[in-house]
Amino acid sequence: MKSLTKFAAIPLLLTLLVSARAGAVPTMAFGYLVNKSKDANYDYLETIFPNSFANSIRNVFQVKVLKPGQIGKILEKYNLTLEKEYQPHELMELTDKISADYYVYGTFVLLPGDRIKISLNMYNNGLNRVFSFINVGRMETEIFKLVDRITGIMINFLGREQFFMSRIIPRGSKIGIFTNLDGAELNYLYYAFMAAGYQVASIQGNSLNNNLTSDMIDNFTCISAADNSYQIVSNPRAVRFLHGTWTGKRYYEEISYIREAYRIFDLDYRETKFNVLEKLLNYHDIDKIMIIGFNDVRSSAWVRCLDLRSRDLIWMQARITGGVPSICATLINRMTTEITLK
Amino acid sequence: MRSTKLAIVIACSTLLSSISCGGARTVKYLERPIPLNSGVAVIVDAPNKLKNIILARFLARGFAVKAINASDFYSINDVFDIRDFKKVSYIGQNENFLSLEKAYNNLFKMHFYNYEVNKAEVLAEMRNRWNVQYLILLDVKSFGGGWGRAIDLRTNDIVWIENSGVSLTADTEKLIDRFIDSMTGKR
Repeated sequence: MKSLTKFAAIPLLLTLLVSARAGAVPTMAFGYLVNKSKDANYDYLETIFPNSFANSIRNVFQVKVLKPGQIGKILEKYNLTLEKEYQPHELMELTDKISADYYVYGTFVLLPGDRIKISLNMYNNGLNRVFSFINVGRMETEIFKLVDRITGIMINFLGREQFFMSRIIPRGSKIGIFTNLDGAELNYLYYAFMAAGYQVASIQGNSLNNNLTSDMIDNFTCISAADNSYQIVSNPRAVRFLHGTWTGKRYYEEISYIREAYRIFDLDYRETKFNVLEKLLNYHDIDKIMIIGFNDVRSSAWVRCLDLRSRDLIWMQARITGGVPSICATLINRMTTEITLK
Repeated sequence: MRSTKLAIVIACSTLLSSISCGGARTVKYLERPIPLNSGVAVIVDAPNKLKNIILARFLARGFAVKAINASDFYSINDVFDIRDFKKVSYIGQNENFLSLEKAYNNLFKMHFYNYEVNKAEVLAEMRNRWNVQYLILLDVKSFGGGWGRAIDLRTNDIVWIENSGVSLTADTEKLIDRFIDSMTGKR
């Protein structure tokens, strides 16, 4: 899946691919794609896929790639081997050891009808965030198309606008919008979407004032969903809730409260969030939730879009520039324009 | 001399008006007209005297105006004081900080989602218990134009929006009539 327009812009985007290791060409390391099919006949794909992604991405722009074999050799220096699977919180240490800015890893599973489902994760060492997405394609006949499509998704996300879209949002859909716009500006945003044929739920719009500032809404840039996600990586093992007889009752109560909050808002956050969104869905009957964050001077915006029916993240885009009217026009144009499939 | 001063005043107010409306052009959209005899709750942030004038216009035009005040809608800051959580998150050891920071951010987001759920519950109660069919939000300003928005409480859809270039003048009733004409489809 890719947009021709996006690919046409690749040369411009290349210069903006920011390396965490300043001054250097970014290094992308490709780990294994683990076979979850329980059919050992397909184990060979565990390295074929990452090698193909690495070659494909290297052909498109200037990036240093590390394939599984090369990573293994680097890790030998530390008396380590490249594991098939890592916990997200282990990736910071791994990427530091192999001097990689990005680490790409995942799984695949064979589906009925000669199809294959690939779940891919792209970890960014500098930001300590991981972008996860799923793509389904046909085996044998379309395997190279699938590789190109997934490479296209990675390239788009690495670009200036950090673009990702799995499907368009048809006119007539009912959308709920979270934003940091207020008053007349919020009205304009609603106007743009309503005039474009969308039904707009009154989330936020049912108040005179909006307390969300541009700083606050930036908290919403990370988003977890059923299939595709963009999340901060936290390390549950590093969190300690130490207590004992020495702590006293009050401290124990406090630490118990924090521990419970940590469970609800980190470990089980996805479920917690969707439980609340389910309630919102009951009142507003929304198809999609769009989170649109504007900067203070309203010259730039980013968007996240969740499909509440499938609980899926379907759209991410950043650095959309212009004023409020032109940003609205860009958003509407993007969400209504069919994505060109390769 | 007097005309020069007048020209400067007009130029300044035009400039101020355009600055305050930056990105918020004069727009109007009516999804479906609001019938004149509907039960409405009008929320407007204005001094009581002005509020009375506005509500009187709605009554005079045939709406069943329900006694709802802007202060009946609490602000998120009144209800959720989550800053305490940030304070306690620092109590933990240093290595806790990054992970708890993520939990804190998520908790913060959840409060905004929950706040919207709570508002939806209040609006459902307004509709069911007091037969409020439409929630009308108005912001009238002395300069820079006002704005209005109406929500159909049966569906919670936004059904009318207007950013008016007309500011609050001595004739408040005229301005409110403009808004009423707009939301009822007469203009």
